[in-house]
Amino acid sequence: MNMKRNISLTHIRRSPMMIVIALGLLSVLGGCNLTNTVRPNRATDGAISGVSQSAPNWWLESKASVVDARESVVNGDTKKVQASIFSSQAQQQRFSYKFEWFDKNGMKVAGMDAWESVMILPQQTIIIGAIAPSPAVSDWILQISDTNYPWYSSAP
Amino acid sequence: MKHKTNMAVATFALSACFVTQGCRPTQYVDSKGTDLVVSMNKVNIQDFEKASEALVASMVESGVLLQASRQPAALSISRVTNDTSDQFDTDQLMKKIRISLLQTGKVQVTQAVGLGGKVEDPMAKETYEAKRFLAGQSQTPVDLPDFTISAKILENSTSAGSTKQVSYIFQMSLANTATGRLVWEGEKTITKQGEKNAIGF
Repeated sequence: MNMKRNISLTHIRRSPMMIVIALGLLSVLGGCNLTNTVRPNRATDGAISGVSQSAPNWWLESKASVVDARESVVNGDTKKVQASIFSSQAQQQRFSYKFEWFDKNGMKVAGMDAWESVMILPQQTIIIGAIAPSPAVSDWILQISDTNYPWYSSAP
Repeated sequence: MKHKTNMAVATFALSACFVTQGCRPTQYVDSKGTDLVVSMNKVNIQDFEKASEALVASMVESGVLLQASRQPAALSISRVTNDTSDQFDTDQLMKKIRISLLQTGKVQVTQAVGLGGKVEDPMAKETYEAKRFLAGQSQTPVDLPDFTISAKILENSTSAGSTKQVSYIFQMSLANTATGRLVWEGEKTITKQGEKNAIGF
């Protein structure tokens, strides 16, 4: 009887600690809104020879991994970019992305940089793309983000 | 001991509350960020942003702006209709379209003529006309637009149980005034689904 009582008391004492750990974990995850960044690797002639991914958010990378990227020119002088995104997840997922643009001096060119939200099916590869805002654009980066956590979505 | 533990629980609970959305204080957010309010019953600023970028990208990619006999081509804005239940100034869309088109360097917006004789900048029109008069060019044709843009924004709402869905359909046409024909048309549909407004997308 005493033994049962001791176990029960220990369980009660542990519960607040479990709550503390859970809340702490929740806080960390809630603030963990890391963006993955993809940059084109360029050959000496400026052509794309692959991409480099900076992926601090491993969960996001598992559902939105850039397989390849390519460029073309439209309207005679404006860069068009497309990238293939693969999801290795077993369930349908969502993510947001945007392109950022730079001129030949590495200065950011504003425009055509709104976040776009897309859905991706399990094991699917989708194509995303954008047109540069100006003929002055010579380079770009792709940012992929995931903000819609279950505990981070409801407006008051 | 028990008192200390309870204090720790309360402290962590408050911290978690502030980190997540529950007790969020008023703050500035990035107007182009992903933590904006997503409304079920109105067009949000990010919707205008997405629609304008998609339509401009389609128009630029089509190459029609190069059809004009002069570069950059002169553009004028024709009728823009908001046929949704949300009352908003259509300039929230059209200004973004114009900014993006001007940035391409392929078009310039003329203030010599406007829909119904009205232009956005009357001073620019009056000065232009005065300079033409002083130069003895009053009888020559004004700077007529090579292209005109017209647009319409529509709404489609439906629901299943407590889940609502609303689609805002942005339609746009570009007419070549040399032929009177529509040379490009674009459409961007933005669909939102849920039970209530939310933050973040």
